Amino acid sequence: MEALTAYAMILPALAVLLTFAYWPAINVVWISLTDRLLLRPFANFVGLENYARLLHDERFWNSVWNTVRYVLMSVPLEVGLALAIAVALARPLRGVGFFRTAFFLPVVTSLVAVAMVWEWIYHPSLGLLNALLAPLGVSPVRWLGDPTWAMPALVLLTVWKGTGYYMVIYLAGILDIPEEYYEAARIDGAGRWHIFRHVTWPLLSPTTYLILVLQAINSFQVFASVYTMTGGGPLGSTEVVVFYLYERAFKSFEFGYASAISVVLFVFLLLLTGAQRIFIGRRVIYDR
Amino acid sequence: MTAESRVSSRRPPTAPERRMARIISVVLGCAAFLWLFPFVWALIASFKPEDEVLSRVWALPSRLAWENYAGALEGLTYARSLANSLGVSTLVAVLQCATGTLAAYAFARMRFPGRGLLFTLFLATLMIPGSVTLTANFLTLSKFNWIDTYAALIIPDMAGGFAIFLLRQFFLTLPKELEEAARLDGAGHLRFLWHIALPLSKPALATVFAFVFIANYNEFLWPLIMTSSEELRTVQVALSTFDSQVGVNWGELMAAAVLTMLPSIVLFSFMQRAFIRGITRSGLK
Repeated sequence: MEALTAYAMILPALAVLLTFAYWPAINVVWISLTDRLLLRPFANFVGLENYARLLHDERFWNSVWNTVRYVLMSVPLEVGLALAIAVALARPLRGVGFFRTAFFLPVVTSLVAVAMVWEWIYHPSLGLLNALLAPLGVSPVRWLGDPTWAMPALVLLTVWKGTGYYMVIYLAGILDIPEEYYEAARIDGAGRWHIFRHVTWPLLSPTTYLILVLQAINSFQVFASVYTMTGGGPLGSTEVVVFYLYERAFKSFEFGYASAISVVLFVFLLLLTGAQRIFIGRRVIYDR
Repeated sequence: MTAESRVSSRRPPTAPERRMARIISVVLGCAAFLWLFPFVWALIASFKPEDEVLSRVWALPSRLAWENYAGALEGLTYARSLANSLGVSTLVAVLQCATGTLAAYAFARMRFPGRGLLFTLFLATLMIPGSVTLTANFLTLSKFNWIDTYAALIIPDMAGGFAIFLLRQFFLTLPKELEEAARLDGAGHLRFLWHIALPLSKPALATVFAFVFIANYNEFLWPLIMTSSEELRTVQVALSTFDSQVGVNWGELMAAAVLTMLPSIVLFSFMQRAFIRGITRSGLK
């Protein structure tokens, strides 16, 4: 009886998750093995043909490279800043609440909305950034229109938008470290840097691993900022994997091919999640 | 441990420590100012008359140009989009609380065969990113004839691994004695859940509601491909088409951006504690 009630209580959630999470995760693999087009209801099984085509698709590899560039630029910046701010905020300080809110506000606002604001900041003639640089003698840069600068511009927006989230996780991790560790270090005459280097940083390493993986998983799926700000341009310099996937599926309607891109991305993200499990396993070393 | 309790356990700061604290405050203050600047700038610009937006970048508006907001709401049936987003996100958040409560309670407080396996299955959905299942979900929804309907925006999102996980963690902390007392009074699981567990879990439900609402409200890719008619568009999708359609009136665009950001900022300011708790609980442990 209890078991039946329990199953009934689980059923609504289970039905939704099976239909819209599990089934598509399996189905996408099947679709990737067909030549499915959106507007054609039937599809032929083509085996690994889509994957073979991916191997030689320069646009795909360009999108992979762009995504990797994006991740390599944004992840260290965000983690470093989040840690620095969290360490600074974890001390007795007037207005801690205000600072926390200030850094966290971009996290809760939508990427599309803040992208609109930043598009204006980056505007070549009307924008804030060039207005700030002009007195320094820098001639106006077309931030989003220049293949060299478009990606760094997206990264800057990402760092501004996301740092607060990781700051909160770091802050929780820092406040979890028992005060006795710090006292012991101080009694040993350790300075501020030594305490950070030998107490805070090692004790935070599980948090750092977690954040690195969380953020990498998020960053590999960057889409909204690219879609609204650059449309993948200029000259494909910001065309990232999910944007390319979107173009294949919903612009040229090649669902089979787009699904192959999805599967490759999926496998990669699963490997990252697996890495997270291994790293989280390391928590044990520091468990108290 | 809170920041406050740590402070009290410390000896009074020495002079160099006080100087250091002051330096850190100043640096943090500058950083916080930079962080808030885009918001402030957008807010100011949203009140500037059209000619001043472009010509007087650094100046305050000479008068409050409410016509920007009127124009933003009018253009692109923006008010409709805003209402769509608020309605859909509220409904999704309520539904996730409901499905989440039922499932989480069963996982936390009831015994049944396959419990561990099913829970692992639920948790594993957190590893399936939406961007990866896009094509397959699109085909499912077109089979259901749900493309470009409210159903497409609501039903696939009415249960979530995060809500279930967070609520289960909470239900696990309810003392066993409470349940036993209820049982002695003849209450079954459902009555215990409704009369005792639910009233106690208001903070947890508030956290889940705030999280799901804000995540759903800010969602972009999904509503972008699921809706095509103007009446169904969410505010994020409407905003993304703004500059291409109006031929950029920056004052109006900033007004639209401010309006779009407002609901999540308001909700966040009311539920800041709940929100931060949600991140630290789900992110860390």
